[in-house]
Amino acid sequence: MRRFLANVLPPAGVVALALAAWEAVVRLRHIPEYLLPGPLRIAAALRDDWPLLYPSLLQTLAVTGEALLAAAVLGGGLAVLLIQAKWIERSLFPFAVILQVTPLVAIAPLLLIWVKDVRFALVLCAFLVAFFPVAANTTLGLQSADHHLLDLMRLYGASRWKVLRYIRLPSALPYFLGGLRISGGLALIGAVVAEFVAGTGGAASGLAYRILEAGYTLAIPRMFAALALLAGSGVLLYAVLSGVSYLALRRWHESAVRREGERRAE
Amino acid sequence: MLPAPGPEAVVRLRQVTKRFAGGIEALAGLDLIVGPGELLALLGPSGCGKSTALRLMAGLTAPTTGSVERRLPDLHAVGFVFQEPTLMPWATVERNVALPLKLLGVPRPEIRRRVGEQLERLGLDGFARAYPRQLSGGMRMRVSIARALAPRPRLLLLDEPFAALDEITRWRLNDELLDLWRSESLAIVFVTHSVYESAYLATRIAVLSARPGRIVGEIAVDAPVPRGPAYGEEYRGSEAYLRTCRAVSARLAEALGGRGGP
Repeated sequence: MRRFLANVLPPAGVVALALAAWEAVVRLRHIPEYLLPGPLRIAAALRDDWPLLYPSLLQTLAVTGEALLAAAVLGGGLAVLLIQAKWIERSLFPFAVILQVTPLVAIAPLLLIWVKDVRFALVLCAFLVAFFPVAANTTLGLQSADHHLLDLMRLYGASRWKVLRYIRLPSALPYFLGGLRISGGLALIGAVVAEFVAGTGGAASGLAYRILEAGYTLAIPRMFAALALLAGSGVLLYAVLSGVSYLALRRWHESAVRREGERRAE
Repeated sequence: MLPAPGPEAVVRLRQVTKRFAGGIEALAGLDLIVGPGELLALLGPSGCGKSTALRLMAGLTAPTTGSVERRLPDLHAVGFVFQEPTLMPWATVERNVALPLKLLGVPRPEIRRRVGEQLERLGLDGFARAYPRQLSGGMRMRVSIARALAPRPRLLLLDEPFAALDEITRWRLNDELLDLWRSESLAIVFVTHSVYESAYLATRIAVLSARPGRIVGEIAVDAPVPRGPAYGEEYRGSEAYLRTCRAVSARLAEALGGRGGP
Protein backbone atom coordinates (compact mmCIF):
# COMPACT_ATOMS: atom_id res chain seq x y z
CA MET A 1 0.00 0.00 0.00
CA ARG A 2 2.74 2.34 0.99
CA ARG A 3 4.72 1.62 -2.15
CA PHE A 4 1.56 2.01 -4.19
CA LEU A 5 1.00 5.48 -2.74
CA ALA A 6 4.64 6.38 -3.32
CA ASN A 7 4.31 5.29 -6.93
CA VAL A 8 0.96 6.87 -7.67
CA LEU A 9 0.86 10.06 -5.65
CA PRO A 10 3.69 12.03 -7.28
CA PRO A 11 2.58 11.62 -10.92
CA ALA A 12 -1.07 12.15 -9.97
CA GLY A 13 -0.07 15.28 -8.08
CA VAL A 14 1.85 16.66 -11.04
CA VAL A 15 -1.06 16.04 -13.38
CA ALA A 16 -3.50 17.70 -10.96
CA LEU A 17 -1.19 20.69 -10.61
CA ALA A 18 -0.82 21.09 -14.37
CA LEU A 19 -4.58 20.93 -14.87
CA ALA A 20 -5.15 23.49 -12.12
CA ALA A 21 -2.61 25.82 -13.70
CA TRP A 22 -4.29 25.42 -17.08
CA GLU A 23 -7.72 26.20 -15.63
CA ALA A 24 -6.32 29.21 -13.78
CA VAL A 25 -4.65 30.66 -16.88
CA VAL A 26 -7.80 30.22 -18.97
CA ARG A 27 -9.95 31.91 -16.34
CA LEU A 28 -7.62 34.71 -15.30
CA ARG A 29 -6.78 35.74 -18.83
CA HIS A 30 -10.35 35.29 -20.06
CA ILE A 31 -9.32 33.10 -22.95
CA PRO A 32 -12.40 32.38 -25.07
CA GLU A 33 -13.34 28.71 -25.22
CA TYR A 34 -13.11 28.56 -29.01
CA LEU A 35 -9.37 29.24 -28.62
CA LEU A 36 -8.57 27.18 -25.55
CA PRO A 37 -11.18 25.66 -23.25
CA GLY A 38 -10.20 24.91 -19.67
CA PRO A 39 -10.10 21.37 -18.30
CA LEU A 40 -13.45 21.76 -16.51
CA ARG A 41 -15.15 22.85 -19.71
CA ILE A 42 -13.58 19.91 -21.53
CA ALA A 43 -14.79 17.53 -18.83
CA ALA A 44 -18.29 18.94 -19.24
CA ALA A 45 -18.08 18.42 -23.01
CA LEU A 46 -16.91 14.88 -22.41
CA ARG A 47 -19.96 14.25 -20.26
CA ASP A 48 -22.47 15.96 -22.55
CA ASP A 49 -21.15 14.53 -25.80
CA TRP A 50 -20.47 11.04 -24.41
CA PRO A 51 -23.21 9.42 -26.54
CA LEU A 52 -21.45 10.80 -29.60
CA LEU A 53 -17.87 10.20 -28.50
CA TYR A 54 -18.15 6.75 -26.97
CA PRO A 55 -19.01 4.83 -30.18
CA SER A 56 -16.21 6.69 -31.96
CA LEU A 57 -13.78 5.77 -29.21
CA LEU A 58 -14.78 2.12 -29.51
CA GLN A 59 -14.25 2.23 -33.24
CA THR A 60 -10.82 3.80 -33.04
CA LEU A 61 -9.80 1.31 -30.36
CA ALA A 62 -11.10 -1.60 -32.44
CA VAL A 63 -9.13 -0.45 -35.49
CA THR A 64 -6.02 0.03 -33.33
CA GLY A 65 -6.45 -3.35 -31.67
CA GLU A 66 -6.93 -5.21 -34.93
CA ALA A 67 -3.95 -3.47 -36.51
CA LEU A 68 -1.79 -4.26 -33.48
CA LEU A 69 -2.85 -7.90 -33.49
CA ALA A 70 -2.05 -8.14 -37.19
CA ALA A 71 1.30 -6.44 -36.56
CA ALA A 72 2.13 -8.92 -33.80
CA VAL A 73 1.21 -11.98 -35.84
CA LEU A 74 2.54 -10.89 -39.24
CA GLY A 75 5.54 -8.96 -37.87
CA GLY A 76 6.55 -11.93 -35.73
CA GLY A 77 5.90 -14.30 -38.61
CA LEU A 78 7.97 -12.21 -40.99
CA ALA A 79 10.84 -12.21 -38.49
CA VAL A 80 10.77 -16.01 -38.29
CA LEU A 81 10.81 -16.15 -42.09
CA LEU A 82 13.66 -13.63 -42.36
CA ILE A 83 16.05 -15.59 -40.15
CA GLN A 84 15.66 -18.79 -42.14
CA ALA A 85 18.30 -17.69 -44.60
CA LYS A 86 20.50 -14.69 -45.19
CA TRP A 87 19.24 -14.31 -48.76
CA ILE A 88 15.62 -14.19 -47.59
CA GLU A 89 16.50 -11.45 -45.14
CA ARG A 90 18.42 -9.52 -47.77
CA SER A 91 15.62 -9.73 -50.28
CA LEU A 92 12.66 -9.02 -48.01
CA PHE A 93 13.95 -6.63 -45.37
CA PRO A 94 14.32 -3.66 -47.76
CA PHE A 95 10.59 -3.88 -48.48
CA ALA A 96 9.84 -3.70 -44.79
CA VAL A 97 12.06 -0.63 -44.51
CA ILE A 98 10.46 1.04 -47.53
CA LEU A 99 7.01 0.50 -46.02
CA GLN A 100 8.26 1.91 -42.74
CA VAL A 101 9.80 5.11 -44.13
CA THR A 102 6.99 5.96 -46.55
CA PRO A 103 4.83 8.53 -44.74
CA LEU A 104 1.41 7.13 -44.02
CA VAL A 105 -0.34 10.43 -44.82
CA ALA A 106 1.03 10.16 -48.34
CA ILE A 107 -0.24 6.67 -49.05
CA ALA A 108 -3.40 6.60 -46.93
CA PRO A 109 -5.52 8.40 -49.59
CA LEU A 110 -4.42 5.86 -52.19
CA LEU A 111 -5.17 2.95 -49.90
CA LEU A 112 -8.60 4.38 -49.19
CA ILE A 113 -9.29 4.59 -52.90
CA TRP A 114 -7.92 1.14 -53.69
CA VAL A 115 -9.61 -0.66 -50.84
CA LYS A 116 -13.39 -0.45 -51.04
CA ASP A 117 -14.11 -1.37 -47.44
CA VAL A 118 -13.21 1.79 -45.47
CA ARG A 119 -12.90 -0.06 -42.20
CA PHE A 120 -10.45 -2.57 -43.69
CA ALA A 121 -8.46 0.28 -45.25
CA LEU A 122 -8.17 1.93 -41.82
CA VAL A 123 -6.85 -1.26 -40.24
CA LEU A 124 -4.44 -1.68 -43.13
CA CYS A 125 -3.05 1.86 -42.66
CA ALA A 126 -2.59 1.39 -38.91
CA PHE A 127 -1.01 -2.01 -39.52
CA LEU A 128 1.51 -0.57 -41.98
CA VAL A 129 3.02 1.75 -39.38
CA ALA A 130 2.73 -0.71 -36.51
CA PHE A 131 4.27 -3.81 -37.96
CA PHE A 132 7.85 -2.65 -38.48
CA PRO A 133 8.96 -2.34 -34.84
CA VAL A 134 7.66 -5.83 -34.11
CA ALA A 135 9.29 -7.31 -37.20
CA ALA A 136 12.64 -5.57 -36.74
CA ASN A 137 12.85 -6.21 -33.00
CA THR A 138 11.81 -9.84 -33.26
CA THR A 139 14.34 -10.44 -36.03
CA LEU A 140 17.05 -9.04 -33.79
CA GLY A 141 15.85 -11.18 -30.89
CA LEU A 142 15.78 -14.38 -32.92
CA GLN A 143 19.32 -13.68 -34.06
CA SER A 144 20.53 -12.88 -30.53
CA ALA A 145 20.12 -16.41 -29.20
CA ASP A 146 23.11 -17.57 -27.14
CA HIS A 147 25.54 -19.20 -29.58
CA HIS A 148 26.58 -21.80 -27.09
CA LEU A 149 22.97 -22.86 -26.64
CA LEU A 150 22.75 -23.16 -30.41
CA ASP A 151 25.90 -25.32 -30.32
CA LEU A 152 24.23 -27.50 -27.73
CA MET A 153 21.21 -27.94 -29.98
CA ARG A 154 23.52 -29.03 -32.79
CA LEU A 155 25.31 -31.44 -30.51
CA TYR A 156 22.03 -33.26 -29.91
CA GLY A 157 20.98 -33.08 -33.54
CA ALA A 158 18.01 -30.76 -32.96
CA SER A 159 15.89 -29.88 -35.97
CA ARG A 160 15.44 -26.30 -37.13
CA TRP A 161 11.94 -26.31 -35.68
CA LYS A 162 13.18 -27.47 -32.28
CA VAL A 163 15.91 -24.82 -32.26
CA LEU A 164 13.22 -22.26 -32.99
CA ARG A 165 10.89 -23.57 -30.35
CA TYR A 166 13.33 -24.23 -27.53
CA ILE A 167 15.92 -21.49 -28.02
CA ARG A 168 15.17 -18.80 -30.60
CA LEU A 169 11.56 -17.98 -29.74
CA PRO A 170 12.12 -17.64 -25.99
CA SER A 171 15.27 -15.57 -26.66
CA ALA A 172 13.25 -13.27 -28.90
CA LEU A 173 10.33 -12.83 -26.51
CA PRO A 174 11.68 -9.75 -24.67
CA TYR A 175 12.54 -8.11 -28.00
CA PHE A 176 9.13 -8.95 -29.43
CA LEU A 177 7.37 -7.46 -26.42
CA GLY A 178 9.54 -4.36 -26.58
CA GLY A 179 8.61 -3.95 -30.24
CA LEU A 180 4.96 -4.44 -29.42
CA ARG A 181 5.04 -1.61 -26.90
CA ILE A 182 6.32 0.76 -29.57
CA SER A 183 3.85 -0.60 -32.10
CA GLY A 184 0.91 -0.01 -29.75
CA GLY A 185 1.38 3.76 -29.87
CA LEU A 186 2.11 3.69 -33.59
CA ALA A 187 -1.03 1.68 -34.34
CA LEU A 188 -3.10 4.29 -32.54
CA ILE A 189 -1.42 7.11 -34.45
CA GLY A 190 -1.83 5.16 -37.69
CA ALA A 191 -5.53 4.64 -37.02
CA VAL A 192 -6.03 8.35 -36.26
CA VAL A 193 -4.12 9.49 -39.35
CA ALA A 194 -6.12 7.12 -41.55
CA GLU A 195 -9.38 8.30 -39.99
CA PHE A 196 -8.41 11.88 -40.70
CA VAL A 197 -7.79 11.09 -44.32
CA ALA A 198 -10.99 9.08 -44.57
CA GLY A 199 -12.86 11.81 -42.71
CA THR A 200 -11.73 14.51 -45.11
CA GLY A 201 -13.04 12.27 -47.84
CA GLY A 202 -16.42 12.24 -46.13
CA ALA A 203 -16.40 8.79 -44.53
CA ALA A 204 -17.57 9.02 -40.92
CA SER A 205 -15.40 7.05 -38.52
CA GLY A 206 -13.71 7.06 -35.12
CA LEU A 207 -12.40 9.79 -32.85
CA ALA A 208 -10.34 11.55 -35.51
CA TYR A 209 -13.51 12.14 -37.47
CA ARG A 210 -15.10 13.65 -34.36
CA ILE A 211 -12.13 15.98 -34.05
CA LEU A 212 -12.49 17.07 -37.68
CA GLU A 213 -16.21 17.50 -37.33
CA ALA A 214 -15.88 19.46 -34.09
CA GLY A 215 -13.32 21.69 -35.81
CA TYR A 216 -15.68 22.44 -38.68
CA THR A 217 -18.53 23.32 -36.32
CA LEU A 218 -16.30 25.21 -33.89
CA ALA A 219 -17.27 22.85 -31.06
CA ILE A 220 -13.79 23.26 -29.64
CA PRO A 221 -14.45 21.77 -26.18
CA ARG A 222 -15.70 18.59 -27.85
CA MET A 223 -12.61 18.54 -30.01
CA PHE A 224 -10.46 18.66 -26.89
CA ALA A 225 -12.59 16.00 -25.26
CA ALA A 226 -11.94 13.70 -28.21
CA LEU A 227 -8.24 14.53 -28.01
CA ALA A 228 -8.22 13.70 -24.30
CA LEU A 229 -9.83 10.35 -25.04
CA LEU A 230 -7.14 9.64 -27.64
CA ALA A 231 -4.34 10.55 -25.26
CA GLY A 232 -5.94 8.46 -22.53
CA SER A 233 -6.25 5.50 -24.89
CA GLY A 234 -2.58 5.80 -25.79
CA VAL A 235 -1.53 5.80 -22.15
CA LEU A 236 -3.81 2.89 -21.36
CA LEU A 237 -2.54 0.90 -24.33
CA TYR A 238 1.05 1.44 -23.25
CA ALA A 239 0.23 0.45 -19.68
CA VAL A 240 -1.53 -2.73 -20.81
CA LEU A 241 1.35 -3.74 -23.08
CA SER A 242 3.87 -3.01 -20.33
CA GLY A 243 1.80 -5.16 -18.00
CA VAL A 244 1.75 -8.02 -20.48
CA SER A 245 5.50 -7.70 -20.91
CA TYR A 246 6.04 -7.75 -17.16
CA LEU A 247 3.85 -10.80 -16.65
CA ALA A 248 5.58 -12.72 -19.41
CA LEU A 249 9.13 -11.88 -18.31
CA ARG A 250 8.98 -11.42 -14.55
CA ARG A 251 10.45 -14.81 -13.75
CA TRP A 252 13.63 -14.52 -15.70
CA HIS A 253 14.31 -11.40 -17.71
CA GLU A 254 16.42 -8.56 -16.30
CA SER A 255 13.93 -5.95 -17.48
CA ALA A 256 11.20 -7.35 -15.25
CA VAL A 257 13.12 -8.82 -12.34
CA ARG A 258 13.39 -6.73 -9.24
CA ARG A 259 16.29 -7.81 -7.10
CA GLU A 260 15.87 -8.33 -3.40
CA GLY A 261 16.63 -5.30 -1.33
CA GLU A 262 17.08 -3.13 -4.35
CA ARG A 263 15.19 0.07 -4.91
CA ARG A 264 15.25 1.01 -8.51
CA ALA A 265 15.91 4.59 -9.39
CA GLU A 266 12.53 5.56 -10.71
CA MET B 1 55.13 -40.51 -24.19
CA LEU B 2 52.47 -42.94 -23.18
CA PRO B 3 51.78 -46.02 -25.21
CA ALA B 4 48.96 -45.05 -27.56
CA PRO B 5 45.58 -46.29 -26.42
CA GLY B 6 44.40 -49.29 -28.38
CA PRO B 7 41.85 -49.45 -31.17
CA GLU B 8 39.06 -48.93 -28.66
CA ALA B 9 39.93 -45.19 -28.53
CA VAL B 10 36.84 -43.02 -28.10
CA VAL B 11 38.14 -40.17 -30.23
CA ARG B 12 41.17 -39.96 -32.44
CA LEU B 13 42.41 -36.78 -34.11
CA ARG B 14 44.93 -37.38 -36.89
CA GLN B 15 47.04 -34.56 -38.27
CA VAL B 16 44.23 -32.13 -37.77
CA THR B 17 44.58 -28.56 -38.95
CA LYS B 18 41.91 -25.95 -38.57
CA ARG B 19 41.97 -22.65 -40.38
CA PHE B 20 39.19 -20.14 -39.89
CA ALA B 21 37.77 -17.75 -42.43
CA GLY B 22 40.08 -14.75 -42.24
CA GLY B 23 43.15 -16.97 -42.29
CA ILE B 24 43.67 -17.58 -38.58
CA GLU B 25 45.22 -20.98 -38.14
CA ALA B 26 44.05 -22.44 -34.84
CA LEU B 27 45.53 -25.91 -35.06
CA ALA B 28 48.42 -27.28 -37.11
CA GLY B 29 48.94 -31.02 -37.23
CA LEU B 30 47.24 -32.05 -34.01
CA ASP B 31 47.41 -35.74 -33.12
CA LEU B 32 45.42 -36.81 -30.13
CA ILE B 33 43.81 -39.96 -28.87
CA VAL B 34 41.28 -40.19 -26.08
CA GLY B 35 40.96 -43.64 -24.57
CA PRO B 36 37.88 -44.96 -22.79
CA GLY B 37 37.73 -44.00 -19.14
CA GLU B 38 40.54 -41.51 -19.50
CA LEU B 39 40.60 -38.08 -17.89
CA LEU B 40 42.65 -36.06 -20.31
CA ALA B 41 43.56 -32.45 -19.66
CA LEU B 42 44.32 -30.17 -22.59
CA LEU B 43 46.60 -27.46 -21.35
CA GLY B 44 48.05 -24.54 -23.20
CA PRO B 45 48.40 -20.77 -23.42
CA SER B 46 45.35 -18.65 -24.22
CA GLY B 47 44.23 -18.80 -27.83
CA CYS B 48 46.21 -21.93 -28.65
CA GLY B 49 43.23 -23.75 -30.13
CA LYS B 50 42.26 -25.85 -27.09
CA SER B 51 38.61 -24.98 -27.45
CA THR B 52 38.76 -25.62 -31.17
CA ALA B 53 40.16 -29.10 -30.48
CA LEU B 54 37.25 -29.73 -28.14
CA ARG B 55 34.71 -28.53 -30.67
CA LEU B 56 36.26 -30.83 -33.25
CA MET B 57 35.86 -33.77 -30.89
CA ALA B 58 32.22 -32.81 -30.30
CA GLY B 59 31.59 -32.63 -34.03
CA LEU B 60 30.58 -28.98 -33.74
CA THR B 61 33.12 -27.99 -36.38
CA ALA B 62 34.94 -29.85 -39.12
CA PRO B 63 38.71 -30.00 -39.58
CA THR B 64 40.26 -28.14 -42.53
CA THR B 65 42.56 -31.09 -43.16
CA GLY B 66 43.18 -34.31 -41.27
CA SER B 67 40.54 -36.49 -39.73
CA VAL B 68 38.48 -36.78 -36.59
CA GLU B 69 37.33 -40.31 -35.84
CA ARG B 70 34.74 -40.77 -33.20
CA ARG B 71 33.86 -44.24 -32.00
CA LEU B 72 30.70 -43.41 -30.19
CA PRO B 73 27.40 -45.22 -30.40
CA ASP B 74 25.10 -42.24 -31.00
CA LEU B 75 24.26 -38.65 -30.24
CA HIS B 76 23.69 -39.46 -26.58
CA ALA B 77 27.32 -40.27 -26.22
CA VAL B 78 28.84 -36.77 -26.03
CA GLY B 79 28.29 -34.22 -23.30
CA PHE B 80 29.63 -30.68 -23.58
CA VAL B 81 30.12 -28.17 -20.79
CA PHE B 82 30.98 -24.63 -21.85
CA GLN B 83 33.05 -22.06 -20.03
CA GLU B 84 29.85 -20.23 -19.15
CA PRO B 85 27.02 -22.29 -17.69
CA THR B 86 25.00 -21.50 -20.87
CA LEU B 87 21.60 -22.18 -19.37
CA MET B 88 18.26 -21.12 -20.74
CA PRO B 89 17.39 -18.19 -18.45
CA TRP B 90 13.67 -18.61 -19.13
CA ALA B 91 13.57 -22.21 -17.96
CA THR B 92 13.74 -23.74 -14.50
CA VAL B 93 16.67 -25.88 -13.43
CA GLU B 94 14.79 -29.10 -14.11
CA ARG B 95 13.75 -27.98 -17.56
CA ASN B 96 17.32 -26.98 -18.35
CA VAL B 97 18.59 -30.40 -17.35
CA ALA B 98 15.78 -32.08 -19.29
CA LEU B 99 16.62 -30.27 -22.55
CA PRO B 100 18.99 -32.83 -24.10
CA LEU B 101 16.70 -35.69 -23.13
CA LYS B 102 13.76 -33.96 -24.79
CA LEU B 103 15.81 -33.36 -27.92
CA LEU B 104 16.87 -36.98 -28.02
CA GLY B 105 13.29 -38.18 -27.75
CA VAL B 106 13.55 -39.83 -24.35
CA PRO B 107 10.05 -40.71 -23.04
CA ARG B 108 8.59 -38.35 -20.49
CA PRO B 109 8.57 -40.53 -17.34
CA GLU B 110 12.15 -41.52 -18.06
CA ILE B 111 13.10 -37.84 -18.41
CA ARG B 112 11.60 -37.08 -15.04
CA ARG B 113 13.43 -39.95 -13.44
CA ARG B 114 16.81 -39.09 -14.93
CA VAL B 115 16.52 -35.38 -14.21
CA GLY B 116 15.72 -36.16 -10.58
CA GLU B 117 18.70 -38.48 -10.44
CA GLN B 118 21.11 -35.87 -11.84
CA LEU B 119 19.82 -33.10 -9.59
CA GLU B 120 20.30 -35.28 -6.56
CA ARG B 121 23.78 -36.26 -7.63
CA LEU B 122 24.95 -32.71 -8.10
CA GLY B 123 23.38 -31.48 -4.89
CA LEU B 124 20.67 -29.57 -6.69
CA ASP B 125 17.62 -31.23 -5.21
CA GLY B 126 15.44 -28.49 -3.81
CA PHE B 127 16.43 -26.21 -6.69
CA ALA B 128 14.45 -27.99 -9.40
CA ARG B 129 11.97 -25.14 -9.74
CA ALA B 130 14.52 -22.33 -9.39
CA TYR B 131 15.51 -20.14 -12.31
CA PRO B 132 19.18 -19.83 -13.26
CA ARG B 133 19.37 -16.19 -12.17
CA GLN B 134 18.47 -17.25 -8.63
CA LEU B 135 21.56 -19.46 -8.40
CA SER B 136 25.20 -18.72 -7.64
CA GLY B 137 27.86 -19.21 -10.30
CA GLY B 138 28.90 -22.56 -8.84
CA MET B 139 25.33 -23.85 -8.70
CA ARG B 140 24.75 -22.77 -12.29
CA MET B 141 27.81 -24.71 -13.35
CA ARG B 142 26.45 -27.75 -11.51
CA VAL B 143 23.24 -27.43 -13.51
CA SER B 144 25.30 -27.26 -16.68
CA ILE B 145 27.16 -30.44 -15.72
CA ALA B 146 23.92 -32.18 -14.74
CA ARG B 147 22.53 -31.30 -18.16
CA ALA B 148 25.59 -32.74 -19.91
CA LEU B 149 25.40 -35.95 -17.87
CA ALA B 150 21.64 -36.50 -18.17
CA PRO B 151 21.85 -38.39 -21.51
CA ARG B 152 24.55 -40.66 -19.94
CA PRO B 153 27.39 -39.76 -22.28
CA ARG B 154 30.49 -41.86 -22.79
CA LEU B 155 32.58 -38.80 -23.53
CA LEU B 156 32.33 -35.59 -21.54
CA LEU B 157 34.01 -32.48 -22.95
CA LEU B 158 34.58 -29.51 -20.66
CA ASP B 159 35.85 -26.18 -21.93
CA GLU B 160 37.46 -24.36 -18.99
CA PRO B 161 34.31 -24.95 -17.01
CA PHE B 162 35.49 -23.57 -13.70
CA ALA B 163 37.61 -20.66 -14.91
CA ALA B 164 35.08 -18.06 -13.83
CA LEU B 165 34.53 -19.48 -10.34
CA ASP B 166 36.15 -18.61 -7.05
CA GLU B 167 38.87 -20.95 -5.80
CA ILE B 168 36.81 -22.62 -3.05
CA THR B 169 33.95 -23.46 -5.39
CA ARG B 170 36.41 -24.51 -8.02
CA TRP B 171 38.15 -27.02 -5.75
CA ARG B 172 34.85 -28.45 -4.61
CA LEU B 173 33.67 -28.87 -8.19
CA ASN B 174 37.01 -30.46 -9.11
CA ASP B 175 36.39 -33.10 -6.47
CA GLU B 176 32.82 -33.60 -7.60
CA LEU B 177 33.99 -34.05 -11.16
CA LEU B 178 36.45 -36.71 -10.02
CA ASP B 179 33.66 -38.49 -8.18
CA LEU B 180 31.45 -38.43 -11.25
CA TRP B 181 34.24 -39.66 -13.45
CA ARG B 182 34.95 -42.60 -11.17
CA SER B 183 31.34 -43.67 -10.78
CA GLU B 184 30.43 -43.27 -14.46
CA SER B 185 33.47 -44.79 -16.17
CA LEU B 186 33.29 -42.12 -18.84
CA ALA B 187 36.09 -40.49 -20.77
CA ILE B 188 36.60 -36.83 -19.93
CA VAL B 189 38.52 -34.21 -21.89
CA PHE B 190 39.09 -31.10 -19.91
CA VAL B 191 40.45 -27.83 -21.28
CA THR B 192 42.22 -25.65 -18.75
CA HIS B 193 45.02 -23.16 -18.51
CA SER B 194 45.77 -24.02 -14.94
CA VAL B 195 48.78 -26.27 -14.39
CA TYR B 196 47.55 -27.11 -10.90
CA GLU B 197 44.07 -28.02 -11.98
CA SER B 198 45.36 -30.28 -14.72
CA ALA B 199 47.78 -32.01 -12.35
CA TYR B 200 45.03 -32.51 -9.79
CA LEU B 201 42.40 -33.91 -12.11
CA ALA B 202 43.95 -35.62 -15.08
CA THR B 203 45.26 -39.11 -15.72
CA ARG B 204 47.11 -37.66 -18.71
CA ILE B 205 47.99 -34.10 -19.64
CA ALA B 206 48.50 -32.95 -23.20
CA VAL B 207 50.35 -29.64 -23.49
CA LEU B 208 49.62 -27.53 -26.56
CA SER B 209 51.93 -24.99 -28.16
CA ALA B 210 50.95 -21.40 -28.79
CA ARG B 211 48.82 -20.88 -31.89
CA PRO B 212 48.68 -22.70 -34.23
CA GLY B 213 48.33 -25.42 -31.62
CA ARG B 214 49.87 -28.84 -31.70
CA ILE B 215 50.86 -31.25 -28.95
CA VAL B 216 54.30 -30.45 -27.58
CA GLY B 217 54.24 -32.89 -24.72
CA GLU B 218 52.19 -35.50 -22.95
CA ILE B 219 52.58 -36.21 -19.28
CA ALA B 220 51.11 -39.27 -17.64
CA VAL B 221 50.06 -38.59 -14.08
CA ASP B 222 51.12 -41.35 -11.76
CA ALA B 223 48.86 -40.65 -8.87
CA PRO B 224 46.51 -42.77 -6.84
CA VAL B 225 43.33 -42.98 -8.80
CA PRO B 226 40.80 -42.40 -6.06
CA ARG B 227 41.55 -38.72 -5.75
CA GLY B 228 38.09 -37.63 -4.69
CA PRO B 229 37.11 -35.37 -1.81
CA ALA B 230 38.53 -37.61 0.91
CA TYR B 231 41.97 -37.73 -0.69
CA GLY B 232 42.17 -34.25 -2.13
CA GLU B 233 44.19 -32.45 0.48
CA GLU B 234 46.52 -35.33 0.94
CA TYR B 235 47.14 -35.55 -2.77
CA ARG B 236 47.68 -31.81 -3.13
CA GLY B 237 50.46 -32.06 -0.55
CA SER B 238 52.08 -35.12 -2.04
CA GLU B 239 55.40 -35.39 -3.83
CA ALA B 240 53.68 -36.99 -6.85
CA TYR B 241 51.45 -33.96 -7.31
CA LEU B 242 54.32 -31.51 -7.09
CA ARG B 243 56.38 -33.58 -9.50
CA THR B 244 53.53 -33.51 -12.01
CA CYS B 245 53.13 -29.76 -11.61
CA ARG B 246 56.84 -29.24 -12.22
CA ALA B 247 56.87 -31.45 -15.30
CA VAL B 248 53.80 -29.75 -16.74
CA SER B 249 55.21 -26.28 -16.03
CA ALA B 250 58.43 -27.17 -17.77
CA ARG B 251 56.59 -28.36 -20.88
CA LEU B 252 54.40 -25.30 -20.86
CA ALA B 253 57.47 -23.08 -20.63
CA GLU B 254 58.90 -24.85 -23.66
CA ALA B 255 55.60 -24.41 -25.45
CA LEU B 256 55.79 -20.68 -24.82
CA GLY B 257 59.26 -20.58 -26.28
CA GLY B 258 61.20 -20.43 -23.02
CA ARG B 259 59.52 -17.27 -21.88
CA GLY B 260 59.06 -18.61 -18.36
CA GLY B 261 56.50 -20.80 -16.67
CA PRO B 262 52.84 -20.22 -15.95
